[in-house]
Amino acid sequence: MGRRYTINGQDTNTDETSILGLTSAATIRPKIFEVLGTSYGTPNDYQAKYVLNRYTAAGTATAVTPTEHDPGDPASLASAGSAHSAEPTYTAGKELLVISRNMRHPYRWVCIPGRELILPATAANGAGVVVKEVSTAWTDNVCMMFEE
Amino acid sequence: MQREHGYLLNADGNEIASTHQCCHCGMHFEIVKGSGVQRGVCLKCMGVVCGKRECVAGCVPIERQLELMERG
Repeated sequence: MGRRYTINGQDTNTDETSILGLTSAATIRPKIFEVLGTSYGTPNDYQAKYVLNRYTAAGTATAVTPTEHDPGDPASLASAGSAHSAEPTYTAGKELLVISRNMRHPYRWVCIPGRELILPATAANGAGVVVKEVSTAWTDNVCMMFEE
Repeated sequence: MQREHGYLLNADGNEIASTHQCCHCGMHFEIVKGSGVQRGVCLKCMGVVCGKRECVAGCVPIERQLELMERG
């Protein structure tokens, strides 16, 4: 088993904007095994579709430092960012996970061992959670766990 | 058919949906009976495919696709 890390990001889930992105490095293949989403604010019946999509350029975002699950592990080689001001360059047709959700309902996706979402060992390549088709935007929190 | 490869859980930890992983592109997707979405099975990989045209058209396993991405 590789070293495990968690990243977490918040942003207003405006249509076609990214909330959280995980960027690979040339020496490792990060494997995403869990994605969680929770919302802030007054609960409402708002809907949104989130797509975890591969990208080839990370864009510009607030840096997020991956937290290691084992305090004895070194800092992760992968990097992360949230609340993008410049969107990543997403690759069409390379969705890894699609989740439709209601603001009132948190979600958690988890895979069985060996079925992780694997990112290539290429610098600047990665995957990000981008919002599609939101009814009314709200502040949302997305958390990803990965190993490398 | 293979068992599911991932799960969507609600706040109470109950399973609300299960996902399968495409053996070609690596995407996780829900299989919904009666949805009309056509998926498939790769007899070389002996695994389910998501139904995207490039995943159905030929067998390029996920490991090979990652190598191609890394090659650029």
